[in-house]
Amino acid sequence: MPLRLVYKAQTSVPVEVEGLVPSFVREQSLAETERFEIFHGNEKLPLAEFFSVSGSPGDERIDFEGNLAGVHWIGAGMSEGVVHVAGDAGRHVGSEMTGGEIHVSGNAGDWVGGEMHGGLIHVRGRAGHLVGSAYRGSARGMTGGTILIGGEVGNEIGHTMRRGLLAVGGGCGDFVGLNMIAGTIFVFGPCGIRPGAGMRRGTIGLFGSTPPKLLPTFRPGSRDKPLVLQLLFRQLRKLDFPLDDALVNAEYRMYHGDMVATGRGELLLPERAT
Amino acid sequence: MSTATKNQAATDGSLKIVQDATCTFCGCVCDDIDLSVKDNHIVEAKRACVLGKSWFFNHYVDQRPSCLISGRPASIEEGIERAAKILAGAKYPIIYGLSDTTCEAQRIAVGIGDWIGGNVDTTTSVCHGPSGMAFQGVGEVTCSLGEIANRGDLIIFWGSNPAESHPRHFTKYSLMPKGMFLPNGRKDRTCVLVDVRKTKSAKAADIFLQIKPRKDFEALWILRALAQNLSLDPAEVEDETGVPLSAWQDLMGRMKQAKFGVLLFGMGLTMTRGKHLNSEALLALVRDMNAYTRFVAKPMRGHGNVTGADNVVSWQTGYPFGVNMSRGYPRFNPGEYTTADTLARREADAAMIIASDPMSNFSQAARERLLAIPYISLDPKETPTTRGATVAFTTATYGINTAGTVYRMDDVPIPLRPAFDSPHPSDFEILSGIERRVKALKAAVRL
Repeated sequence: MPLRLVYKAQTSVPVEVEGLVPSFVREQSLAETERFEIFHGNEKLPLAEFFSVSGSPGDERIDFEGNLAGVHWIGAGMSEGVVHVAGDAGRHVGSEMTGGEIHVSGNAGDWVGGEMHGGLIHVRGRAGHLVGSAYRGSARGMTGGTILIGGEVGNEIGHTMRRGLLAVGGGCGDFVGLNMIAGTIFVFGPCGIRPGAGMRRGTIGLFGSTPPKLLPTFRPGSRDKPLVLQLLFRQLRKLDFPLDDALVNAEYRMYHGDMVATGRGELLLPERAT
Repeated sequence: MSTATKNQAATDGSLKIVQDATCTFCGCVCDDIDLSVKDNHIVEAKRACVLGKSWFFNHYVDQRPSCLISGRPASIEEGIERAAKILAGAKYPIIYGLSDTTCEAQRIAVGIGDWIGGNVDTTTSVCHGPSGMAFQGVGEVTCSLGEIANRGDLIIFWGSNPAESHPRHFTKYSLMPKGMFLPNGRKDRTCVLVDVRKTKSAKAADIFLQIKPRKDFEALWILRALAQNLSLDPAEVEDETGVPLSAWQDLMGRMKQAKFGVLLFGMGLTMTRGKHLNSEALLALVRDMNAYTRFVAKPMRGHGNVTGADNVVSWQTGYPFGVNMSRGYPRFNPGEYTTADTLARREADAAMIIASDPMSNFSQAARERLLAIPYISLDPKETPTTRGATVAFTTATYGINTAGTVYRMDDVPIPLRPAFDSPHPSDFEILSGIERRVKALKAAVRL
């Protein structure tokens, strides 16, 4: 039986629940969990002022319910267990998490999986900007784990990403994989401008029906059916991420870049779209 | 330049001369202006440019009361008390503006932000904020304007129109001065202008490259590729940028051969699609060029003391703008803690706007939110922002009525020499009063 947290507050001021993760609440009684202090703007208040708390924390699973679009840092820093959000979630979902799973049935705000190190985040709806990215001034974005976004995302996803898999079912904004160091990004919808700018290594698959215009610093390479795509598509399907069969069997044109960086990155476009 | 201020009585007994006064209209912060003041009106401003003359000659002391609460005149003490209660009682307050006031006032404002656990943001977030973010990502190879005047033999303006926005930049720093290593002044320099339209600055340039709108990043990326001797497709380059590859190759040749290259960039770069990443591309290009020669970059800052705001907020919090202190320590995240965003998302529940007019230039959603929450304004003049304020302070104009310190666009601090007194208090005085009351209110809550 999971720990059930039903959001009952109505406030436009940001609510931040950093630290409320399965491994922490597992050791707490319900009364102690109710007294756990969270931030409402600049004031610290007990969790119970914002959430109805019930269930059992022993299963290392937290179920959030209600409209949590104004509740931020859900699952940030978690290392194990499962968090379910029935509805929308705010910014910084799963920020810097090292393990465990977060499932959001609705949309999420910016910075989903910011500097994530491990685990799984699956957002069924849309997400904002900078998914899996480095925070401003940081040298690295996500360094491991898997982020799946069912809908569209904003700009700069995978900014300075170092490792891991980031898959987007819808379209994405500008600068996907900016300054990417390594790792894999798949975008199954339309893509904004300047994909892969400054990427050093890593793989970006842009599978939308309209091929994006690449920067002049990318060079066309081979055309084939990369085995790695078959493996990764299989993994995505296992994670309940819908895929078009045509992509599984398609041929892909590889582009090498970004030549102003080391030029060892790979940009894959389905040949049918080029 | 004399560093002394002399308020000499004139022969007719009513004319006052203020030597080496400082113009705070733009980021050049020219500190060699001689003002003639008669009957609390500036009648002459020697050496000021057209913008500076307009700034000085059109200055008048606003006849509004020094404090209005909900539109009704009130004493300054009442206004300070009301303002302190609004800020101390707020859960997600914002402090915004700051670029047209002194560093001394900015310091107090940041202190208030710390006491109330608020968000401190400056107009940098809507002008050169992208450059501030890019500095963190790439770093900045830079110099003072004096070095440009003495050494810069290749001057490139990108997305900037100094002929109209910083009229004395050409004559004081970038083009005309005869410098230590440039004895022939303008003849020893090459000036290049890159912009999406032919501005008045084009006349001053030796080379003008008109690129397609919103293609700054691509153009800079092409220059980065050329700096690394990569081959490019001429048709693709011209299609992307609107400028032939040969012109970019010519420019890159000049950049590599320059002894001291300078890239001065404006909001035509920082506020077009790509924003901070355009700035990053430019700063990365300048960094790349240092493999060949000395090359520097410098943003063309607009407001008189916006550079001071960056400096003060940085040395107090570690970050230049968009700083959140709700947890008792500073957090930086443009887009999350910047004022246009906290207002548009309806998160802010109180505000203090200092020497800025967001009601004139923010989005509709942000303006609606600002009008819906209690806020305090400090401004020498009546503006749409002061008209909607719960507490509106009319303050003295910095540089003309109050002394203090401002920073030139190259981070050089400059003292202010006021021309005459104002009946209104300074921003510093009002903010100091608010800070005292906020401290007392917060201490009372803790007890």
